Amino acid sequence: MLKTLKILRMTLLAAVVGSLSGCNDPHIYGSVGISSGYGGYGGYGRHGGWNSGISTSISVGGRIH
Amino acid sequence: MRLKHCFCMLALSVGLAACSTTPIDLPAVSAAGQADALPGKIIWHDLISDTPQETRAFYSGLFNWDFSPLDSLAGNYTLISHDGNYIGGMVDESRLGSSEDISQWVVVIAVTDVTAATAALTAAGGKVFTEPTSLGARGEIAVVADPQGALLALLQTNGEDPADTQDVAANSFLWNELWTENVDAAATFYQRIAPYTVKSFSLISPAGPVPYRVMSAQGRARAGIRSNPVPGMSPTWQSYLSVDSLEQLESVIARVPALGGTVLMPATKRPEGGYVAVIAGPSGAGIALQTWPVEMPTQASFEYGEQ
Repeated sequence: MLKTLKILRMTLLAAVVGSLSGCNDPHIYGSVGISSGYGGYGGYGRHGGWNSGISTSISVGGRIH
Repeated sequence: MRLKHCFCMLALSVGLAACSTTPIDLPAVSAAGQADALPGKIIWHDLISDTPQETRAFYSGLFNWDFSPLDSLAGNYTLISHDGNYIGGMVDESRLGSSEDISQWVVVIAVTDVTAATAALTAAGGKVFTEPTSLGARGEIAVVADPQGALLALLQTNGEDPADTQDVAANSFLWNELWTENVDAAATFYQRIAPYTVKSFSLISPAGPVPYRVMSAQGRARAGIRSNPVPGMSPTWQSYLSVDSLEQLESVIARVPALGGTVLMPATKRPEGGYVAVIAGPSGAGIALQTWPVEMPTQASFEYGEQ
């Protein structure tokens, strides 16, 4: 009986510890970086397409009025 | 025996309480009682950064922006303000568990019904990363991507979006532009989620005509769409900050490297008037800088017209 109660107590404590370690509210942006099938969204400053000839292309656009 | 029993029950109660969902409460994007619903307007910008401390120093050094961490969203949200006005938020990417670098500015578009907008987005081929989620006083938000992959968020405020103004303060958000592959498909898509009207332009540049679309709502131009000017880069929303003059623009650009950023494109004269540059902060998230206001060019070789 005592042994059974001890096992039950340890089981309960393990369950509490386990639940605490998993208690992280998901961030609204948390799913963006872990979705498969999509290329990297960000860090485009590190993208290699920014060559010297890009200025003419990018200079067109922006706010006009 | 009774003491041990009580201890177990207490521990279990504490554990269950800790696991309960923590309400998110972000401040509203506009003052209560002073604004109307403006669906289609880009009303907020969030910056996802894998180098938040360096990013904070970067924008503080360039534009005197202030950064105020909040306890909300598990402590992973920082409010950005300029001249006493909140203009955006910052999220620490390293605490999101991302498997890839997603550092970027995210535009937040106002919608009147985020559940309906999300459903329409899905039906039109978009992707939902975060279903409509309450942000408390701020409203309800969904984080999504359009069919061509550009990341954005949809926000339903409590019927009050930041009011339109005539002037744009220097070093604040001036414009937002979607860089995408299929311009017309994108325009059609965004009309499914917000009440946009679309005007087509053909901007003439020395390199040839560039198709451009201006999406308007409530009689105001809200955003532009153009073909992606950077070969191979994923479609993305590009935000612009205003600067007063070419002199200020060059001054800002000169300070970028020392603050840990990168000048992607130096100050370049625009066919439509004024100057534009593109920089990236320490995280790699890019942002454009444009002089404003601009005078329309009178040279015959630079033309734009309505199609």
